[in-house]
Amino acid sequence: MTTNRTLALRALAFAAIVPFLACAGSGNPDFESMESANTVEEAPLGGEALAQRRMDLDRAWRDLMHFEATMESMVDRRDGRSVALLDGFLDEYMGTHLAALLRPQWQSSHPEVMALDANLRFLQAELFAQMRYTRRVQESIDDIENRFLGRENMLVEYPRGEQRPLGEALQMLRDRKWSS
Amino acid sequence: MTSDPIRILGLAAASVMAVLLFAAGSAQANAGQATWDDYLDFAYVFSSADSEQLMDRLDGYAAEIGLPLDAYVKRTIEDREAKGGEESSVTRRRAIAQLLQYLSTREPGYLDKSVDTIEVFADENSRHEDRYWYHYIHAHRALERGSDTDFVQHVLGLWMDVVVPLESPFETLQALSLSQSANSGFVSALPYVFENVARLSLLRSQEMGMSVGLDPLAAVVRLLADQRVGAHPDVIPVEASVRDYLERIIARLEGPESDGGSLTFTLVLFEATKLHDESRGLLASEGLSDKTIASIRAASSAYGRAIDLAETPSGQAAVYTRVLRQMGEVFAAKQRLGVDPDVEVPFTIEGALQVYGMLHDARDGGWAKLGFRTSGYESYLESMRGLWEEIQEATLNSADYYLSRALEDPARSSELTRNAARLYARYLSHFERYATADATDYVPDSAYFAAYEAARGYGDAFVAYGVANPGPAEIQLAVERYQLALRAFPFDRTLWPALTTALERRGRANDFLALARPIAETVSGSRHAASWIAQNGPGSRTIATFRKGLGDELVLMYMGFADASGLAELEKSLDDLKQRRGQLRTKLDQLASRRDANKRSNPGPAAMGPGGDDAVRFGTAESRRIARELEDGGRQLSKLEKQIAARARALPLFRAVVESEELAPELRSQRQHPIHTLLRRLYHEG
Repeated sequence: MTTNRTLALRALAFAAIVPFLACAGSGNPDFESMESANTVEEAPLGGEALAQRRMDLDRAWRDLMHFEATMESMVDRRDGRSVALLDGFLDEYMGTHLAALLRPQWQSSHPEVMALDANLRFLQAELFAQMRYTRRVQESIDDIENRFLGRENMLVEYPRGEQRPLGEALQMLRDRKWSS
Repeated sequence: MTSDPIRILGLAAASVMAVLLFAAGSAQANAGQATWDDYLDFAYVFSSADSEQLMDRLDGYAAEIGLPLDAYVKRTIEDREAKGGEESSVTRRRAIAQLLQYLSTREPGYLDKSVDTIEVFADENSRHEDRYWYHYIHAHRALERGSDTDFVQHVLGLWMDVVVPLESPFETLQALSLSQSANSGFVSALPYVFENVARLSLLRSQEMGMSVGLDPLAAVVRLLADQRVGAHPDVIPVEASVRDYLERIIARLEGPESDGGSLTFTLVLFEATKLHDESRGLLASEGLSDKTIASIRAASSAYGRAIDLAETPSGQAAVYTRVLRQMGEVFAAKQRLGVDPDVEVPFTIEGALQVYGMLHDARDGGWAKLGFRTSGYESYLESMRGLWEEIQEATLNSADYYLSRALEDPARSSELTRNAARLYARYLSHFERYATADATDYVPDSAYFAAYEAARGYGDAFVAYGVANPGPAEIQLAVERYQLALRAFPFDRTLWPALTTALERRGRANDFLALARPIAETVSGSRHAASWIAQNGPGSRTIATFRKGLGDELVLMYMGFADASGLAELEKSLDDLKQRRGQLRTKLDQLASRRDANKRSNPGPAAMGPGGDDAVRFGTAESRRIARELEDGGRQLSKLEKQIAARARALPLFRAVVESEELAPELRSQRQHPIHTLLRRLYHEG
């Protein structure tokens, strides 16, 4: 059932994109700036905007799983040329899109998205490990420690397909940093 | 090569185009005149159509607009020169027009022009729509030039520059039901972008013969399959989408037929299987015609490319599994059609046996490293069993072919029969090596019946097919193979006398019972067979009949030394015995009467018989003769009684065995038949 509150939020969301639609005939709306404006927002979101963020995080997590599966298979086959090509892509993907998506502090503590946020960070760190970016793995570990301080018992998915407490997963990630 | 999904998309595109053009161009609609600008702005809808359809479409648009596409291109260039410049949208449209000219004619010159035109959008900060066409056009040129690195880079670039930034806005617009609004700009093209990238990576790349270096695109293919391609049926009907094809590729990429997740291998093997399907269709419709043989060679060659690409035993097993099926089909067709054209398949069963050996050696650890890390242990097992089944089928089909040729060509009979025997022997040594009691997971149940077929085939090659002058060692091996065949499938009545025949060839027919009894005892005392019968499993009646029959030594002798046509003779012999028993009884009764009559009338030493004249006196030579005859007759009668009792018990059992329903034809045609499981258990019970 659509509530008045939902309708109001939809109206707000629509109002937010109307300026972009208006200029659609002459070019693309500036979605990058819209996106980065969202990601620097520090206040917890709610309603449609939160749903959108959850969707973005979920999609990014699923996408990273696909990247990880592909990278893992190429590393297994010792296909250095293919690894280098995908590495270049992932470097850009993580450096621009994912970094912006993971930047806000609030989503690491918002009850509706913090698990997704943590899972995504672990998966990203795992990919860094596969790509042998040990410094970036360490940065991810430090970032997770800071963001989830005191929540070491929270269950996260790491490695892929397995659930364990965040503290234990962090320890595994530390070991993984040098063993990949 | 034209694929069905592309044809379907072409058809669907027409209707979608109409809707989009109507929505987008209200101004033009008011003016009542469509322009190339309208069609080119929405070229992402139809650009994946095959060249013929695209040509028809462009001709139709040209007729509608009143201006051929090349004239449009020429005019934009003239305008640019006249004005000293042009808007970026005009440049983009010209590049698209040149790409469409290339796609419809396959003339590379148009593609070069398109690349030159689109180069102005090399800047990463160009609009999404411009970047889409920039990468799309460059990807086509990479395919035309056979540059896998450039192709991969442009597909990944397209994803990064277009898909990644547009997905979130597309979802926002979709939530507001505005994703297909006329004012939503290139965002609304996203479902087509997914579709086109999928077609470019999976279909077009193969059409252009790109068979190396596509592995990084496995990531893109996985992304496309995850709620992207086919996820917008309101925009692209599912039946017009490549979703099914994509899902099949993903299943191969992540299943037992994967080469450790290599997309290149998956696509090449997929193309090979398509060629195989075509050749199979031709084989069915035209037999081994020149066209069929050419098609078989093309498929074999494609499998050859796949095996060259395979880097893991997983991938090698996938290729061998399919190519052995093709080999089996070719041999079966040669035998069925009675022709023997020269068809080369550049693979051997030995290669497949080696791959199976590698897979088997990794069973206690290390299997994941053979290319199964993603697909998992079940895929590893499935791969092993699948490969085994094809090894056994290819072996049996090719051996059958040699035996049938041996019958047709008496001059080469011995040579051809020995060829068949060698094939059987190879399978049997594979079977004896790997089909151990604990190999349930690695060896299919049907392997045991196949072992029976191979072992029987080996024995028959030297005993029944009449190899000229088989050596003693060959006959001895034939005896051993028949024993193995009986262990693997004891429910073939004709196999037992075959063993006797082989033994006779070595003058050892008397050994039959000693060799056959342990096998018969295994069947008659089998707990698995008893349980099978108690549960009324398939074939229970036949199995119960054999079980009962083989429990009787006389029946076993009948099975070894009698055949079905001799059954009536055996039954007549029982009647003869009964008749002899009757006669003997009468005779003994008479003798006893003479002896008894003498005792009653004259207890003296030489009494007369009851009639007076023939009474025999006790103590005379005559009385002693009668006593001796009575004693001998009694022994004979006892022997006869035993013989009659035994035959009266055994003959109905033997008759039941002879008349029981044959199980072999069903098992031969159904490799998943439940009885195969019983055969495995029986084999290891012995």
